Parts: sequence; structure tokens; C-alpha cells
Amino acid sequence: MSLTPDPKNQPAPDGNQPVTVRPGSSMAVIGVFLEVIRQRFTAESGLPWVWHRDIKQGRIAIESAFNEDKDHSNFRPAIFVDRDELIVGRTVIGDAVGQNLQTGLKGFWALSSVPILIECVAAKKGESATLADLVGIFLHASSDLIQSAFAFHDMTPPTVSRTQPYPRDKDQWVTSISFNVQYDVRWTNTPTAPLLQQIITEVMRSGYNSATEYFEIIALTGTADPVG
Amino acid sequence: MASVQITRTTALFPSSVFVQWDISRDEAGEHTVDIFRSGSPTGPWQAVAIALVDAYHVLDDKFNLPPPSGQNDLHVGLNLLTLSRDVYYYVLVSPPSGEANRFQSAVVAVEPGLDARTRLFKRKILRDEATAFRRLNGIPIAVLKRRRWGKVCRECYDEVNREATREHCPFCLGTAFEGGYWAPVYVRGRKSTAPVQTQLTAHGDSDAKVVTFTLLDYPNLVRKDVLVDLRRNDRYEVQMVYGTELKGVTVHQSVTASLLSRSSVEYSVLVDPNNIPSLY
Repeated sequence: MSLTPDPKNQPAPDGNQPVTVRPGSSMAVIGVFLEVIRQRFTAESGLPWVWHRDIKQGRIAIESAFNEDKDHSNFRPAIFVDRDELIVGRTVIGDAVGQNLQTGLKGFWALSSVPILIECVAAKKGESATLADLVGIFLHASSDLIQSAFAFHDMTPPTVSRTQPYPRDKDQWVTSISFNVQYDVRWTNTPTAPLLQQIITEVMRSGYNSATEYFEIIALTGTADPVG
Repeated sequence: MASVQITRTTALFPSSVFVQWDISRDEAGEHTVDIFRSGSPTGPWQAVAIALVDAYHVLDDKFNLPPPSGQNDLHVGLNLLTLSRDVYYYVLVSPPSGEANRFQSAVVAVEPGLDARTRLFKRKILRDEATAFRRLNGIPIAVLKRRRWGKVCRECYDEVNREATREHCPFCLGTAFEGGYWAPVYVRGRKSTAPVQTQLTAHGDSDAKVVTFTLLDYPNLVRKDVLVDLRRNDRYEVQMVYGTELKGVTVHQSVTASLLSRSSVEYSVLVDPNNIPSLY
């Protein structure tokens, strides 16, 4: 049952996404959790760690692990969102869910599963553990809302791991949070037979003596105007 | 059990002694420190400083004061740092629970463990090195000793875990003790060159630069103390200290230190960039 009236069809953060980041892709899923976690660390939260889009005004960095911004290098405390192996599962044979008999369009569906890895880095062991605890319980408590708002099929309870040393320019600590999300992946295939038939028709209508001649003209000029 | 240990008694040219101590505490709060000096290990003792609260060292430079007006006490003007004379110190600490629980250090001589001849060598080496730092290859450095006793942080100290829980705590700067660092001590030292090593990590690039400082043997540095290159305001966290020794007594300190990123809280400690190191 959906908790929101109009859930998205595929997981994606709010706002315009670049065309290279497809809704439901692993980058989009990372973006969803990035935005969700950032909302926990706003100025209104009352926490000592306030996230700001301009890192120089913020007290915590909350970024995707793909971040390469120099200002974020060695910044502490920080929360990084990453993913592990993305698996597209198979629930039905051939993933097929339907076909439009008139157009030949076929519909497919699968459940994609991806482990999300969140790492809380801080110079103090207690700080790292506290951040991980905050994020872990926040995600767990918000699980139903996140699933419904961002069209996740399932979200497992988070596992907050042991705080480990993570030496860099000074001693650091990292606590990992991991959980799995599942979500629908849908796609369609347009049958190629009608397309091929369309090409054959074009060749016949063009008036050239052979298909080879027709394709040579296209290759040389970029277009093949009908003869006569 | 609480204890105090004198970690440095270094004779400085022309006539002063740098005395440093380290308190192993049982209780949180302000520890009041009294320092006494004597010409013999059994006294009589003369107070050098009384009721110090915000200090981990004292510079005892009251040796060569002129005699008080109208008096002709020859002992006042003596150079107590002659090699034939031993000067002894001890430190008395009053914990927050009161004077009934006071504890004191062992009596420590200036440059303990060295005979007069070796002591002379040490002073000569120190002076030559200090001259080289001043005239040739030294840079001004502020030493920020991390607080390891005193009032625990009112904001972020966790009584159960016994540690600070925020690096950027405005009260303790992540050290667990209010103030974070003792007042800076300005010295000169030599800094090696080193490249910034950028490593590719799971979270993007990570920069690290580890350099070696050569300092005289005071203040006694330990891991996590901070060195400030005053000309650039670069701040380094001490990772490892190993000394050049003369018959088991430290003459120089070689300090391996890591450059801290500009977002580190250690950059919020104020130092005077125009300070000219007065020691030596």
C-alpha cells in the first residue's frame, strides 16, 4: 500500500536529473539517499553538524562517494553514500510482463537489488559512531516513507557496523551503515520486424536497381532521393 | 593513582631553565601546580611559581636578578647554571578535591643523568643547533601542546566512553579538556621538504603530507601535539617523536608530523604569526 498519493514509478531524487542518470540507476538511488540524509542535518535539526550546500559554510560533508571536489578532500566529519553490486533479479521467465499485439511492443519487468553503503567518517571515534547511529535510526524509522515516496519495493533494516580506524592526514574513524533496497525496473522493446519491413519498403519505393545501389548512395551522400 | 612527572629540565642559554611536567590525573577539574627549586636534592626549597593553573611548563629565568636594593647577598646574583652546580626541581600538584590529596613529583636535576663534561657537550650542541636555526635554516614554530589534564569539556565529553565526541567542539577542540591546547610556546626548528601525496580512496582523493621537524629537546612533544609553521600557518599533527640522544639523554627531537587539512579544528587555535621565538 502506498503512503503517498502519487509515488514515482522509478527511484530518483526530486528535481531535474541529467539525462545520463536514468531513474532507477544506481546513481539515482545514491542520489535519493544522499538527499534524504542531508535533510536530517539541516540547520533546523538542532544538531551540531549542519549540512550546507556550500561546504565552507557547513559543519559536515554529506556527499556521494563519487565526489571529487577538492574542498571536500579530507573534510571531517563527513558522510559518504556509495553502493555495492547491483543485481537485476529474475522473477518471471524472460522478465516478460505483456505485449501489445497491434504494435508488437513488449513490456518487461524485474526487481533490481542494490546494497547501499553509507560511511560516516570523523576524527573522533565517538563522533563517527554517533553520526552512524543518527543516520541508521533515521533511515530505519523513515523506511516506509522512503519506500513509498521513491518507489522502492523493499528496504531492509540498516546494519551499523563497528567503528574502525581510518588513518589519513590525522587519525580518523569510519562507521559503515549498510542495507539493501529493491525496486522495479521496467523497460519495453519495440519489435525489429516492422522496422526491417519499413526499410524494405523504402528500398522498393526508391526506384534504384538494387538494394546495394540504394545503400551506396546513402553511404556516399547521406541520403537517397527516389529516382525520377 | 594520580601522579606528576617532570619531563624536561633543559638549561637554556644564557641562564634559564625550561621545566615541563606531565600530570596523570585521577579526577577531572583544575589542578593547581607549584614549582620549587633548590641547590640540593634535599632543600631548602624556593618557590619558582605558585598556583599555576593554565600551564604545563615554566621558564625559570630568575637566576641572575640583581640583588635587592640595599642588600649585598652574593647568592642572589650567582649563575646557577655553572656546570659545577646542580639545580633541582620538584612539582607539587593540588587536585580539585583539595590540598589533602596533593601529590608531588620526584626531585629532578637540570639535565639529569649527565656528568659535567657530557652536560657541557649537550649545552654546546643545543646552542650550536639553536644558532643554526636562528641564522641559517630554522623557521619560527609555535608548539601547541594538547591538554591532557584539567577541566573536562562541558559540551561533548562522554563520561561513559571517557572521550570527546566532537572534533569541532568549540570548548575542547576535540581534546576532551576545555581550552583544547595550552598556550603556544614559540621556538625555532628545521623542517624537511615532502611532497603532498594524493591517494585515491573510496571517497575520492585524500591528501597527505608528512614532514620531519628537528627541534631542540623542549618542549617535550608527544603524539597528537600540534606544530604551527608560523610563516605559512600550516599546522601539523605530531605522529611520532624520536630523539637524538647523548648517553641516553635527549638532545634533539626529530618529529614526524602530518599536515592537517584546512578544515581541521586545530586551525582555530590562535597563534601570533609575528612572534619571534624568545627561547634560546
